Amino acid sequence: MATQGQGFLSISNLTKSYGAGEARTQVLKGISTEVDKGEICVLFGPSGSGKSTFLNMVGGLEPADSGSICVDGVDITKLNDHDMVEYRRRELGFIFQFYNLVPDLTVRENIEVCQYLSRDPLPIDDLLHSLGLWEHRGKFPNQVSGGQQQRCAIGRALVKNPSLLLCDEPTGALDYHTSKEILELMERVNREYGSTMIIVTHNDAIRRMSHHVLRLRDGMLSEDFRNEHLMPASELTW
Amino acid sequence: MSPLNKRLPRELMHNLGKYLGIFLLFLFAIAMGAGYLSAAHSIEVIQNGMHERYQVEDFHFATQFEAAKSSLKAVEEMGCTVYEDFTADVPMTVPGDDRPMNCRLIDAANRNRINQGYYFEGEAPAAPDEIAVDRVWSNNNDVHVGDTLTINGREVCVSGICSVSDYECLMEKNTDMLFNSTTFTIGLVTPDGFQNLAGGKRDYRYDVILDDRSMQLADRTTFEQDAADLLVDKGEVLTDLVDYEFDNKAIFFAADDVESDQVMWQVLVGLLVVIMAFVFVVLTNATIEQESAVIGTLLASGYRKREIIGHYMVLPTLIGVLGCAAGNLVGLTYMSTPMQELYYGSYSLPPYEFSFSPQVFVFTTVVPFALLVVVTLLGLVRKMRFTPLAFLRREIASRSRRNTLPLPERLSFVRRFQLRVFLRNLSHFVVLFFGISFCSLFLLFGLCLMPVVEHYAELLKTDVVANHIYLLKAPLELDGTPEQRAAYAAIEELMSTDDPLSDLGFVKYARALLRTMDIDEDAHPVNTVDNGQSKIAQAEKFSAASFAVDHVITDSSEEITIYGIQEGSRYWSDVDVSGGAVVVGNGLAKKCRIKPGDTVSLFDKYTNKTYEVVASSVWGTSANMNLYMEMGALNRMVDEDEDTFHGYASDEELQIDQRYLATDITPEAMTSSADQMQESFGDMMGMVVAFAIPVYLILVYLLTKTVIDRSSRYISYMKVFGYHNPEITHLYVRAITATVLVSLVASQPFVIWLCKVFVSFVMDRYSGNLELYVAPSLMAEVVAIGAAAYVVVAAAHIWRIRRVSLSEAMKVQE
Repeated sequence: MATQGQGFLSISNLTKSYGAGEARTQVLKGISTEVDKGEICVLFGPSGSGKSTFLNMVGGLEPADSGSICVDGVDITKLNDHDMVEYRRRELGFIFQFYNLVPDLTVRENIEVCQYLSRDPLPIDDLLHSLGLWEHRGKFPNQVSGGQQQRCAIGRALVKNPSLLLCDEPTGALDYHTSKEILELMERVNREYGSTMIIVTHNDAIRRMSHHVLRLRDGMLSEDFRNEHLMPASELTW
Repeated sequence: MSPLNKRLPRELMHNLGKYLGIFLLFLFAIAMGAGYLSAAHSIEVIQNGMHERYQVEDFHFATQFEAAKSSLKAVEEMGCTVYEDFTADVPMTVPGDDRPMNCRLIDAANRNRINQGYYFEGEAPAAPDEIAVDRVWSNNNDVHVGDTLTINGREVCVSGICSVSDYECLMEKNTDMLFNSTTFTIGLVTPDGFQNLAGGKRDYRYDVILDDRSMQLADRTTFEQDAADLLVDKGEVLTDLVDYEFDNKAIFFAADDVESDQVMWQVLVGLLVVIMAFVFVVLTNATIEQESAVIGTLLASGYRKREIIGHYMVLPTLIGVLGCAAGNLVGLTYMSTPMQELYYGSYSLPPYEFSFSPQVFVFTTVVPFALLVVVTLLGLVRKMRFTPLAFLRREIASRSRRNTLPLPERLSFVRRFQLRVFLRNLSHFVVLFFGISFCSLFLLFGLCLMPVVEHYAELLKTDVVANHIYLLKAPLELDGTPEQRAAYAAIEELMSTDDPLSDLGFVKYARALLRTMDIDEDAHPVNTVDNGQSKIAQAEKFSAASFAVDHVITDSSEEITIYGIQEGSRYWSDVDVSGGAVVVGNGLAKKCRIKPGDTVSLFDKYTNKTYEVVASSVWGTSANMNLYMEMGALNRMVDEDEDTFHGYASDEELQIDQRYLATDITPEAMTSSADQMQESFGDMMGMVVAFAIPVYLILVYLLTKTVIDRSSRYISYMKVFGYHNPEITHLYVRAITATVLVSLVASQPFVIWLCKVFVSFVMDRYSGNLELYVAPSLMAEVVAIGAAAYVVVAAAHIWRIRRVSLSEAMKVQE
C-alpha cells in the first residue's frame, strides 16, 4: 500500500501514544510512508484519527514514541533540542487554520518574523506583490479579511524558502471563494518555489489537486497513493 | 459545590508565580507595616502610661544656687510637692575607650520617690563606690554589671543597668537638638557616692508633682509660670523651668520620635497599598484576558455572571486571606523584635509589652485585603459587560490606537518587534514606571538619610561662625580688675560649702568676706580667671533668647534661637543687622516658609508672650535655624537691660567659670551630634532598604510577568517558526529590560521630587531643617540596586520563556 523508497520525507513505523496505564491511547500505530520532493501531499481522516499528531511530529513539535522521520536524509527523531529548532528554522514553514498571526504586528512585520530567521530569505516585497498583499502590507491582521490573513500566513511560511510546508486545515476557516484563491496560491507556490507540502484537511476536493494522498483511520494509514490525474485548483468545486 | 471549583488547584498551580507574588506582597507589606506600627503603638502605650506608673514629674525647675526651704515651701503651698533632685555632671572614662564622657550623677534614693527607674540587670547601688548606668549607653559602650568606670578620677563599680523615666532619651541639655547615648549617661549613686563623686559640684534641680495630676497643659504652664514668678519674688535665681510634656526633651523626644516615625511608616505603607491597588488592576485584567475563552464558553453555556465572578474571586480572596494571616504572624512575631530595637536601641524605655491596636490592624491588613477584593471585583464586573461572543473571540482586551501605530520601516525588524511589545503592554509599563518610582523612593529614602545627615553636619559646622560660641546662664564679664576677680573668687569659695565658717576656718572665711566688699552689685559679675587681654579683645558679646516658631506643614513648632549681635560683628561679618534689620537663618526660612518682608511670630513659652518681627533678609546655610538682630534691639524687645548679654563668640578658647557656662558650641560638637543622628537613623534606614528590595522584586516580577503571560501564545509561535530561546528572550525580555532600565533612570527626577516632599513632610516633626541632598553617586546606587534586583526577575522570565510549550501555538483558536 505505502510507497517505499528514498523520498524527501521518509517515515517509518511511527508510533505515538498519550497517557499512561488504562488511560493510554495509541494515536499513531506504526505509520510508514514517503513523500517526494516538490509533492503536494494531502492527509485526510476523521477527527481523532491522528492527523494533527502526525503533522506535529513531522514539524518536530512532539517527540515520537518509536519509528523514524527522515527529512532530506536526516532522522529528526534523533535531533537534540537545539538541532530540532534549527530544523524548524531552516526546513519548515507552518500554515495554520486560524492563521496564528501576531495581532499587533503589521502584515509585513508578520512575514518579517520568519524572514528574520532565514539566511537566504525570499525578497519580501516580491512576496507581498505575489501574494496580493502589497497594498495591505501596513495593515494589522484585524484590518484585513480572513483570506488576506491566510495569505499573510502563507507569506510568513514561504519567506524562509522552506523545503517543507506543513499546512493544518489552511482553508478550514475560509469561505468557498477565498478557499479556492488560497488553494490556487498554494498550487502556484508549489510550482514556483518547488516546496514540498503536507496539507491536513477535511476538504475532500483538495485530493484532486494533490500529487500524493494519505488517509488516516484509527492511527493507521488506510490510503496512501499518488494521483495520476491532477486537477488545477481553479477547477476544483465542492 | 460548583464543578468549576475543581479548576482552582490547577489554576493555582498554573499561575503559581502570580499568586505567590500577591501572597509575598501581602506578606512583606503587612509584616513590615504591622510589625513596625504595632511595635510603635505598644511603645506609645508604654510611654503614655509612664507618667502614672513611674511617678514622672509634672515639671521641674532649676536654680542657680540652692533654693531656700521657705521658697520651696511657698511653691508647695500652691498645690504641689517639690522634690530635691540635685545632679552633677562629672567627667568619666570607660576602660579601653579614650573618649571623654559625661556622667550625670543622680541620687538613687530620690528615684524611689519620683521619676522612678527600672533595673534591667543587676541592682541599685548600695555602696558609695557603686553606680547604676543607663541601658542604652551601656549597650553602646559594651559596659556590663561588674565593670569598673573612672568617674571624676575615682573608680566605681557598675552595680546595675537601668533606665529612669525622665531620661527616656539621653539629652544632655534640654536645649540640645539631639540626644547623646554614646558619651553621656545618667549614673544613679548613693547619697554618699554622690558627695564623693560630684566633688562639690551641684546642679540645683527640683522636681514637682502637682496635687492635681490631671491638670491640662494650659493650666499647668500657667501654674508653672506662677511658681517661677513666686521663686523669683523670693529672691531665687531661676535657670530652668521645664514642663514634662511640653518641653522636656529627655521625656518627650522619644515619644515624638515614635510619633514622627509612625507618620513616615504610615505614608510608606499607604503608598504601598496604592501601588498594590494598581497591581491588582493589572493582574485582574490579565486574568480575564487569559481566561477569555473559558469565560465566553461558560457564559454561552448558561452560567450567570455572578457565578463566574464568584469563581474568579475565590483564588485572589484566598491568597489575600493567607497573605494577611502570614503577614500578621510574621509581623507580630518575627519582625516585632527588630522593630522594637529601632527604639530600644536608642531610648531608655521600660521593658516592652505588646498592645494590640485595632487601627493598625485595619490600616495594615483590612485595607489592603479590602482593596484586593474590591479592585478584583470591580475589574471582573466591568469586564462582564462584554457579550459571550466577545469573550469567545477574545475581543475584550482594549485595542487602543497605539497598538496599530505604524512604525518606520527603516528600523530593524527586531527594534520594531520590541517596540510593538512595548506598545502592546504600555498600560502595564505605565504601572511599572510608578511601581519602580515607588520602590526607588523607598530605596532612595533608605540610602539618602546618612548622606543627608552628613551634609547637614557640614552645614551646621559652617553656621558656627567662631571656634567657640559660649552660652552663659547669666551675664559674666571677662574683663575686670584683679580685685574684682578676687572678689568673685571669694564668693565662689563661700558658696561651694554648706557651712563656710567651719569648712574654711575663721581666717579664710573673713578674708573671703572682705574680698566680696569689692563687688559692685549694679555691675555684671566678673570671671574669676583672667584670660589675657588679647583673648578678651577678640571675644565678642552677644545676647540670645529662645522662641518657638510655628511650622507650616504640621501643627508643630520649631524651637529657635534669636541672636542679638553687634553691628559690624567680626564673627557674623556678613549679617547686616543695622537699622533694626532682622535676618532669618536660611533653614528657618525654608522650613517655616519665611520670605523677606514677612512677619515672624515668636512665642516665648516661659512668659506666654508673642513677639512679632519683620524679616529683612535671609542668611546662612539651609541648616541655620536662627534669627539675628542687633543686640540692643533684642534686649529692648524682651525687656532686658540694654547691656545684657548671654554669651561670647570667640575663636580662642576661654576659661569661663563653670557655674555661669551653659554651653560651649564648637564646630566639632556639631559633627558629634550628626554622628549620633546617624546612629539613630541607621537601623531604621537599613529596615527601609531591606523592605524596598523584596517589594521591588515582587512588584517588577508581577507587572512584567503579565507581559510574558499575555505573549505566551506568540512566544509559542516563535518557537514553532524556529526561534531559539535566546532569540525570543531578546525580543520580549529585552523590551521589558529596556523599559525597566529607562523607568529606573527616567523616574529619578520624579523620585527625587517625591522624596523631597516625603522628607520635608516626615522631617517637619523633627527639629532643624534637614533637606534632601542626593549626590549623583547615590542616584547611581539606586539605579544599580534596582538593575541588580531586576536581573533576578529577568532570570525568572527567561526560565518562563523556556517553559512556554510548543503546543500553545497549535491550540485551535478563533
